[in-house]
Amino acid sequence: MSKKSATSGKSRWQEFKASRAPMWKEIKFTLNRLKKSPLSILGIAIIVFFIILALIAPLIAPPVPGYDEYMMPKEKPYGSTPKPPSPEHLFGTTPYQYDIFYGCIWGTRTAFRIGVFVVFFGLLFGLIIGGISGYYGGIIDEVMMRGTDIIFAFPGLLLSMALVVSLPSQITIIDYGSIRWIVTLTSLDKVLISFILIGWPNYARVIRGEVLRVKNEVYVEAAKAIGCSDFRIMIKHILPNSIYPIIIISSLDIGGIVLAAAALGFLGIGSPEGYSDWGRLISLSRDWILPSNADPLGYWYLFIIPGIFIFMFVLGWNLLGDAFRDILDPTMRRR
Amino acid sequence: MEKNLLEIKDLTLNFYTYEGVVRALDRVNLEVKEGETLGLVGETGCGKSVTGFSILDLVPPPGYIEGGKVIFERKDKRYNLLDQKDSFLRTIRGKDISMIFQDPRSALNPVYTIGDQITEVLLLHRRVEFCKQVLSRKDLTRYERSLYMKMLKSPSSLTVRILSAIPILNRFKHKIEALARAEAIKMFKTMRIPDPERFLRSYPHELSGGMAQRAVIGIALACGPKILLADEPTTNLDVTIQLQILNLIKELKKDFHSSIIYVTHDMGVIAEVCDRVAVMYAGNVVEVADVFELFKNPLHPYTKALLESIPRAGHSFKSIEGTVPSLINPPGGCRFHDRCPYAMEVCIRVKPTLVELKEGHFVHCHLYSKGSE
Amino acid sequence: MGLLDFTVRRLILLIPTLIGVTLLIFAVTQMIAPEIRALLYVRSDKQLGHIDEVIHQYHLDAPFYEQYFRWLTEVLQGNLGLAKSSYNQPVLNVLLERFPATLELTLYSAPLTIFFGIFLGVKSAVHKDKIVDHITRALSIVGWSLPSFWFGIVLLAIFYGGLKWFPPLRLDGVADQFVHSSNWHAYTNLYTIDGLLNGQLWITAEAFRHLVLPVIVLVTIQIALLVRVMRSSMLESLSKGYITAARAKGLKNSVVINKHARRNALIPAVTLSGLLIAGMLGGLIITETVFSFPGIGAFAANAALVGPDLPALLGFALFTGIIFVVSNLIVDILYAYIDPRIKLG
Repeated sequence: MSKKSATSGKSRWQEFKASRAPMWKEIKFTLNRLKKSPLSILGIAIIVFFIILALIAPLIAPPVPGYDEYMMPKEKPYGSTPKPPSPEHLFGTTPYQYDIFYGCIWGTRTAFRIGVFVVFFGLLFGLIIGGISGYYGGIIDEVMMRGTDIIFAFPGLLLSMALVVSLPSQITIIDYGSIRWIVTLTSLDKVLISFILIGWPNYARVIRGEVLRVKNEVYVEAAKAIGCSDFRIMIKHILPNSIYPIIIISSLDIGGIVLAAAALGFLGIGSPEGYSDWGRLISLSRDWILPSNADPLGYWYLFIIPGIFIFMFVLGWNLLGDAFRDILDPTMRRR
Repeated sequence: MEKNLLEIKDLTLNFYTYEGVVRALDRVNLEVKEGETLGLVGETGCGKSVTGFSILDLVPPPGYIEGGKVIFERKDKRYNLLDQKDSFLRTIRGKDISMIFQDPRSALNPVYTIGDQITEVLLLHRRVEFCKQVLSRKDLTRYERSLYMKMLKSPSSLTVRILSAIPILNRFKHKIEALARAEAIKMFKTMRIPDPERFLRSYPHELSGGMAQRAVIGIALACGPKILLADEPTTNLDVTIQLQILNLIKELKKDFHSSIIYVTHDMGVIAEVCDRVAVMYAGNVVEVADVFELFKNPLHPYTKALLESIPRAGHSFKSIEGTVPSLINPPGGCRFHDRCPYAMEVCIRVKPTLVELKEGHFVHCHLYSKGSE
Repeated sequence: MGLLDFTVRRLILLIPTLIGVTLLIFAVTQMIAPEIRALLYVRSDKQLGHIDEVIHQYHLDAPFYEQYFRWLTEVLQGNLGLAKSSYNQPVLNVLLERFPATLELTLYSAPLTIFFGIFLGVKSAVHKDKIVDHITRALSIVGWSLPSFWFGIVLLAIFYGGLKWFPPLRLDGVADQFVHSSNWHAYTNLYTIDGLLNGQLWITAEAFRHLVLPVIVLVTIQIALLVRVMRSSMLESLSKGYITAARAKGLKNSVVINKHARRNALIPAVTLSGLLIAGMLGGLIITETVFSFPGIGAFAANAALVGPDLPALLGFALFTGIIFVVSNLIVDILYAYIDPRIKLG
């Protein structure tokens, strides 16, 4: 089949580019506005810094051979007194001698993994369910909205704690005769799953709103009029027009997710002891900094440094997210 | 010859936007006499609304007035409004010059009743008058009397303001508010609104378009302004309501002796309501004349085209070729030259000057300039 | 229909929502083994040794809906099980005992957050893109990005570890002994108020001293959200037609902003404030843990760690869920009261 369209002399590729031209114009405009905002540039700089840090982790904090690279190395003797920063342990050690430097560096990777994983799946479920709900409406929509209302009835941290506690450690997906597929969930997995379960209704709502808006546009009516199947309409027309702001906004939730994971980690829920996770890292030192007779100033390195990592990471994403939200706000766009 | 109540001289206004500098008004000149209705007509985007806003210095950023004067006569003194401080302009807005808007429901604050919104403007500008009326009553307590005296002498006294904010102590204001409400009811009765008390208690979203516009008109006329700026007040309304409102405006004009600057794009409305007309195109005033004169004897090519384009039964549609130029890079010379059937070489280069062809009939066009063919 | 009818209607709708909430909680628990779930029905210590009997008695191996109704009956009688993490005391008692602490924290954090959030949001919007705006937004983003536990620890390190000004816990030492003695009459169980009512001003002062740091943490973090919402709704309000109309009336700029624009902008902020308060009442898990503040949040955190203590957590979830739903209801009614455009019919 010839690549040229039957109606015009342009090739299919040129037609595709032309049809996407307004989208490119919007993206360029957005990037332009982004460049002008000093806060967003700072946010981007911070995120880039962390990306680099995550990538070079094996170089600056070489893992101990034979051990899971995400587990912080412990040094013998395993005395319980934490040690302050020194040439061997750049950021010091926690009680029981975990290397804080290692934990912070590899914790960057953990943070990215948590954030991206949760956002990706949350968005996936949200897209599917929100899209279907918005497009078809009716009973499906009603049920879904009531469901999300109920989930919204709970403060997130609480619900995630309840889920983490309740989720079984082994899920049997298939158990039929000779076919068995059992999935084992680590504590961290449970945290991630609970975040996804709590987060997707929010995305579903936003997507549903966007779909409802786009659904009523004239070009969708036109597509229906010429006989496009529902599926085709959803993929070709509705999706590209509703997804752009959603991708931006949801990916910027990464900050909030990492913050929540750190909070749970601090409580001791989530990764196992010794895992390179910033929140969990701080929780190891709780007894040395929290009780009334503790000495938090003396043991500053136990929490100040990992805390700064968390703070900066989340700050970067929040700066970017705020800038994007400002730019995407349609009432402000053309000033 | 009547006095000019308001004179706009060489008003220039620019909007600084992302896409460039929009030269919205280019040396606009207008005069409004006492008691007359001046129509300001033109297509969308020609600058007629913005001219109205500039008079009261209400043009929001990124719009900035670059030059010109707006001279208003008040109590035998002439003031250039563009030179005045905001505190002075506030005494003019709503009182000497008020405005009515195109979309009445968005001009009204949705969380306050009509009554609240009209008594607000009444209390703002006629407070002294009401204070005196209250003080002439016999049944005031000492507390109330002293407060009203204070209000009379120094309107923004701190004591009065503090006490107004405290729930039970601010009951003294009821007397003056009652007076204001009575005035409002009187106003709406004059406008023949049925059940004015209920009207005062309504919220804007409960009213139809026509009723909402009446509320806006009532608020504008409440303090007896000398000039009423009407910014396309009937454009958003049904045609039948349009007629009612137009008649209402005509009547009120007689009752209140105000001048009106009536901004519209509808030549039919101009014919109904106005005494004199100014035609605007792309930020310039192109022709000014008495209304009958304009319709009988339009001089400027644009005016002629406008009149010809009014749909008439039995005739085919005539429109004006081309589109309004972008005001970011307006055409040099006369801004109409690229659509003008009579364009000459000089029109591209040189801006035409104002020529008074007949008494009271002004044109900006090279066709009529001295020294041209 | 009027506001009253609206309220009644929403109150009636409350019931299905509450049922939904309890269903959700119960569904979550179904994933757990029956032995642990049996703890939900235990009323006294003695039963702990005979879990099998409990399982049988409450048909914990029966189908879902049967169990749900049994559980619901228990709950409605006030039995939420015994808390393993808290010396096997009945969950409901522990929750009720600890709630005043959380309430006190909320009582002081909420008004500060709301007042300053609205104030800064308005200022930020009115002076958009100027220094005030940039600083406010920067500070609020920083506040929002702070890990609450970390901020709390830092403050403790400086102001308690270093300066010894503001201690953790709710009361300690002499003050704590006093409020548990017979000289003390507990009217509201809120120490700041009871101090005044008992004529023991030093108790009130001590209570405040302990509240300073946690309140600072809470306000700093939550104000960010409110500022952002207030700012954007204020900006939207300022761009509306009635603002120009108000100026055309000759009103002062401050009046236009405060009377006309702000009233309209408050509407979404009220909803958010309601959610914030509900969230705070629902237990400030992290903050209470860091400051060892004896509220229901700390209880839940402890239950999750030492255990997991299922009855405690679920009791907490139920308690919080109900508070949340009721708060949402109140917010809805408030919303309808403020905005005359909401159709009450």
